[in-house]
Amino acid sequence: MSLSLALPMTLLPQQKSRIDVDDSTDWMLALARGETGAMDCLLNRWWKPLMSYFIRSTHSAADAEDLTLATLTQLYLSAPRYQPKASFASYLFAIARNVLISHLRRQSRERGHVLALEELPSGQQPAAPTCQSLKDTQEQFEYALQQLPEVQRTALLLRVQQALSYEAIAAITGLSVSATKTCLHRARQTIKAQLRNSHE
Amino acid sequence: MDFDTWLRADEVPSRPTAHFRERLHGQINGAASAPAAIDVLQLPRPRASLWQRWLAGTAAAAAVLVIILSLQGLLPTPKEPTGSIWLAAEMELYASMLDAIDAETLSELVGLLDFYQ
Repeated sequence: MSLSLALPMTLLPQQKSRIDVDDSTDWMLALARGETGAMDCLLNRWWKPLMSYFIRSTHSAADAEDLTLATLTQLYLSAPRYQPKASFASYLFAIARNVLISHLRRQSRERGHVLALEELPSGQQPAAPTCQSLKDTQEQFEYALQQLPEVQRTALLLRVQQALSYEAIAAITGLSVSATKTCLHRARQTIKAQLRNSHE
Repeated sequence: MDFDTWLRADEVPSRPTAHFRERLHGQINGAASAPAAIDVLQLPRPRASLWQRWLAGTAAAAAVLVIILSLQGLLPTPKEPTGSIWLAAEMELYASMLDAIDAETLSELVGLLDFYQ
């Protein structure tokens, strides 16, 4: 099965007013049937959400591109076994999170650390904001985000950036819905504390 | 700009670059060149049919039964007494009565003895 770069006429994204999750499920099922052109539709639809998620998670555009590539490759390989039980976004971001965790663990091993899941850092640690850079709000945000444990950062990104439901985030992170809400609350508390410390 | 706005905002182009498409194309074609190996690694093992599973279950149950029975055979079992205590007592009683009874009663007693033995 090889990827065709030509989009099938029936699935051209510009013909649809709004590409939603159901389209992705259909494309994935089409891919499972061997309609390789559906991969282009999935790529066009999910490239930006995946890149955004990985850029905020790793603080590196190059790493984000590699991880997006790995996620889409995994998605392609998993197509024959795909069953639309949950939303497609849950399915895709569960793969993406696994790819991210593998990446962070590999980085930790290369640095000589063996860390538990909750201890995994982000890809590139931004420098702590200095007095001069405190004025730079984006740097403060970046620094605060990277201080979060992986699961809190992922939950926050999936909720705010990807606008996923609590149920979908719970399915991706393996937490219960109530634990997901607690996790998000703690993430916000930590961010607030970090930003408050930056201002002091 | 607040934190949530910053999280949503990024400079990622809406469509992938041609370079990325080429990389994905190469990656997928490379993976697809050995689809059997990938499937073997990632797919669950094929499940046996219903009758195969039933046969295996029955064979396992029979094996367990045989093991239990053979273990019971190895255990020392109490021997049955060769004769009943009550029978011995009755025979003694009958023997003591033999001298005092007539031939007809004796034949009945012999029949009774045959019955008990």
